[in-house]
Amino acid sequence: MLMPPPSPRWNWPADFPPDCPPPAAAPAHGVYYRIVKTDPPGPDDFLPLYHLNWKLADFRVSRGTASWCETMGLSIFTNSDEAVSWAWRVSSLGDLIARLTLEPASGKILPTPRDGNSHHTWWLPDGYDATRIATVVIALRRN
Amino acid sequence: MLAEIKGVRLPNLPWHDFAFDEVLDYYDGPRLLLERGLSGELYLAWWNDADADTDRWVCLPVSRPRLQAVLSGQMAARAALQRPEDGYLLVVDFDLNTGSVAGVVRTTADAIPPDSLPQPGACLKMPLPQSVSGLPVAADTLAASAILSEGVIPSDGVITGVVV
Repeated sequence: MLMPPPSPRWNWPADFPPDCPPPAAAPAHGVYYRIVKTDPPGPDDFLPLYHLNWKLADFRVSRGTASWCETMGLSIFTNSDEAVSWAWRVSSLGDLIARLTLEPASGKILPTPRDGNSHHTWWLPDGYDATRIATVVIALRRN
Repeated sequence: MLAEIKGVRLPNLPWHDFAFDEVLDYYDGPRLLLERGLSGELYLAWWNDADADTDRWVCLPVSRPRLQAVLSGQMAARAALQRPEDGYLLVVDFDLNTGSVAGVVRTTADAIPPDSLPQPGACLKMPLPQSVSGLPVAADTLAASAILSEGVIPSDGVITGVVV
């Protein structure tokens, strides 16, 4: 009888709150898309909000527009068009779309759609090098 | 340091508090909020910029028909900001150290760095949130209907995706 491969034992960053990632999150697996700024993608393309600007993350949490756990995850899409749409709308996010080939060692993911889109939240284990599984596949040209 | 916004500085927000603020769009954090004042007035608030100490939002007062036009993509987001129904936008800075409002400027889209606004022609595509879909339609429906029939999606700004 075939058994599924055992899930890796992730080492989450020490400042993740309890139940983060949420229990409903699943081992990462499959192809996803994320907006990045550099080709090849660099470590800064995979910093969650609470690492980029802790005070901003704290303010989001205090206003109730995000949870701590959400600020510790990254936005990714299964639909590349949605990543393109986001990059188009918010130019400060970046002009490049990277394809991510996630594996269980990449961490955990949870579908977090807004109005039925393919948005997922991805939590990376401590020390995980996301640049290794990311390849730029779309470059936007703005007029 | 965030860009200085030219306009009329207000002593405080023109509303006292919100009945709610609802996250409409999220990418590495909330990017678009729908806010409703205690008197029922509606605002679309786009995240604009932040630095170590300040969080900046651009708030657009909207009627319900205008809200519906923007959310449905009938009117591009940037066009809505450039043609506010009431003739103005509010740029609101929050102090991240205190969580309080640090500054409010009544202004227009021309005063905001263009690259921090939604890209020309970029449209949202989302339904009217349930939280407002049951609200009575305001008296400005006729004016907003005129906007809806305007055409709306601008042809300026084109973007192409290229597989590399």
